[in-house]
Amino acid sequence: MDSTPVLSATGVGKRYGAGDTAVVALHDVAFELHTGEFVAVMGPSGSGKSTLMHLIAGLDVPTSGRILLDGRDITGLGDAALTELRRDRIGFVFQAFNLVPTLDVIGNVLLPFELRGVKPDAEQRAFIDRLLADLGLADRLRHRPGALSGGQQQRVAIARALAGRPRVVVADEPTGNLDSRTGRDVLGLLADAARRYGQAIVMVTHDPVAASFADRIVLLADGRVAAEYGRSDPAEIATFMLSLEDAR
Amino acid sequence: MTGRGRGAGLLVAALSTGFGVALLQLAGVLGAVTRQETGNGGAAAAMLQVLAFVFVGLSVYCGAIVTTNTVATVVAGRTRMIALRRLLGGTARAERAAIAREQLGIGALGALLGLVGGSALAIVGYRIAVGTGTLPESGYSFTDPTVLLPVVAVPLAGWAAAWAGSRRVLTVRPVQAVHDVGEPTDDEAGGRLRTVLATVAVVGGTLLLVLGILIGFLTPAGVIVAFLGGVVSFTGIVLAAHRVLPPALALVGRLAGRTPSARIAAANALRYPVRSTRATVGLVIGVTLITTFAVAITSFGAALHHLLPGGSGLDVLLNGITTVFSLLTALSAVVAAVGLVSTLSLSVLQRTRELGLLRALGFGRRAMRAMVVVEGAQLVVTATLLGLVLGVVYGWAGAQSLLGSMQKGLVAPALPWPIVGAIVLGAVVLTLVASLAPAARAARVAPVAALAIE
Repeated sequence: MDSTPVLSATGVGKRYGAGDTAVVALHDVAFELHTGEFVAVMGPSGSGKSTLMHLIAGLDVPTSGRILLDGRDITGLGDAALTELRRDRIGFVFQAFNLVPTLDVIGNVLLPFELRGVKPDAEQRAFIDRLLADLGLADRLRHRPGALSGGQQQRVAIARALAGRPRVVVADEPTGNLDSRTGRDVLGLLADAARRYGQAIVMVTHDPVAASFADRIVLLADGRVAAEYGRSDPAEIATFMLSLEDAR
Repeated sequence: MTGRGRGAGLLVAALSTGFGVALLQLAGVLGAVTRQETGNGGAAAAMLQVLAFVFVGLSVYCGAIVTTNTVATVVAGRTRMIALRRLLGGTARAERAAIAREQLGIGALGALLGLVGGSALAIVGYRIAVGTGTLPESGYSFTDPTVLLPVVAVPLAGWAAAWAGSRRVLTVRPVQAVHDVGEPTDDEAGGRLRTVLATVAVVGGTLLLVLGILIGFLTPAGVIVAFLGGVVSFTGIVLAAHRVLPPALALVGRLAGRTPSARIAAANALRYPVRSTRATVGLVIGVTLITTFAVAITSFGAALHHLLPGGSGLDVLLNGITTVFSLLTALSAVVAAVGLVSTLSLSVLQRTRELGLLRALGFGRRAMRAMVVVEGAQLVVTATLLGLVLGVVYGWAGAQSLLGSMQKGLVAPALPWPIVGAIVLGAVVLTLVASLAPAARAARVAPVAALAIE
């Protein structure tokens, strides 16, 4: 594992609104992510896990603290710079898949390149072909999302997220809309991507089974990091979550 | 753009080009006939030429306004898709440019269809007129290059209109792809700059309109200044629509009664002022346009008969204008209807969860249908009233500025009652037709839709 993190957040806070009506979603959070690492961020509703994900992904800016991506501070960036950052360095996987229904599989996978205004070069194209083969999508390239099962749609979303070899892939409840068996397949694919391609992945989830696929688990509660654990099995993770409830 | 948005864009471009082309072709025919009949060009033919250009300008302007509206509605309907593209790294500027470019292509295709359709209509109309003895045979060849003016102007205006209408792309935030944050508030949709611009346009345009009427006492060319004044002031009214229309809608909504369906339908106008405004503006434009022409032509005809009793070229002229006018009425009504249908449908599509909630709370299918019909009626009635008032003012101003120099005084604004009646009847039919499909869709929404995550 690389010693300098791909992504590091220090003292990160996020406050919505001002004065009496202000809501503090995150307090002084520290977080690191390394190359090839698959990290799960867990916590009950309102713990700040979605807010943390938005900040890491350049969808929102913190009100305090710093977030470094590849050593570059992204906290002061404006909309245009954040757009470029998301385009070139972040990949996304969502609960609701969020594929473009009018584009076929290959069109969806190449969409980030299209938005960048470039065509993948031979090396990138070879990587994408390998990716599509690994994800079992090679014979479905001309299918529209509507003709695919939920699990297949999520594989397309994963292919889209990985295709541009982003520095960080952000996954938001990627198994939330899938049955448990398909969900496990998808999690296996994400864990594989971290191992095989050295992809750094941060996944937000509240499912102990999903988190058991991760190398590391960060537990948030009330906008703070409550605990961190190494690889654990689902029963252990459920116990961590329950102890968090008891402590409150 | 969605299929619906593309279809509407193509239709608008084809209609406004077709109208412009047909009009210029007819003006060409009538000019040739008048020259042949009276031996010289004459004031009537010159006036017809001026009038034709003013009408072409109006139809290009009307098409552009409708396009702006359609694009804005389409953008609103696909906020989530734009948010996704923004999230994956598309810039807001590139998204807007793509929408505008697409509209340019659609406009070009529509303009070609309009060129063919408009010319065909003019040729067929002319042949029929010759066959029935209404018009004499003339040597007009229908290949005057002037008719290419709308063919070039319409796609360019559509491109600019799409750029203006896609302004809302700038308010779409990437995070909306992950979480539904609802409609933007009124403050985001219309800033202070917009209000200032609108006020300047209304005041400046009204002054130009008055100036046009004054110049009209000296020369018929005053109508060109008045036309500019009309376009500028009406643009101002359209820009300020988000301030003017919601109170007007609320007022009309209060007349709809106190049943739960009616109250919820009426409250919608206040809850989503931006969307209601977008829906109503298209209709206001349609009704204003129809009324403007009706009043202008009726006043014009009455005054002309008074001025030139029994003039030989006059009947030819009035016949031509009436033909053109009937065409315009039909075409702009269709354009307005297309706008309303698409807005009401989108409004129902976007509110599936909310409609499901109403069903879960105990609204029956009949109440759901009634709600959509009342919402449609509220939009149509408000638009019709406002359009009638504006149309009478603009129509009279147009006739006055064109005829003031010949009449040597004020032209009485002639109210064409049969046309006013037709507009009201058309409004009723439009309400029913436009709300039919959306009402059925609303009635079909299942109560569990309230629980669904998009």
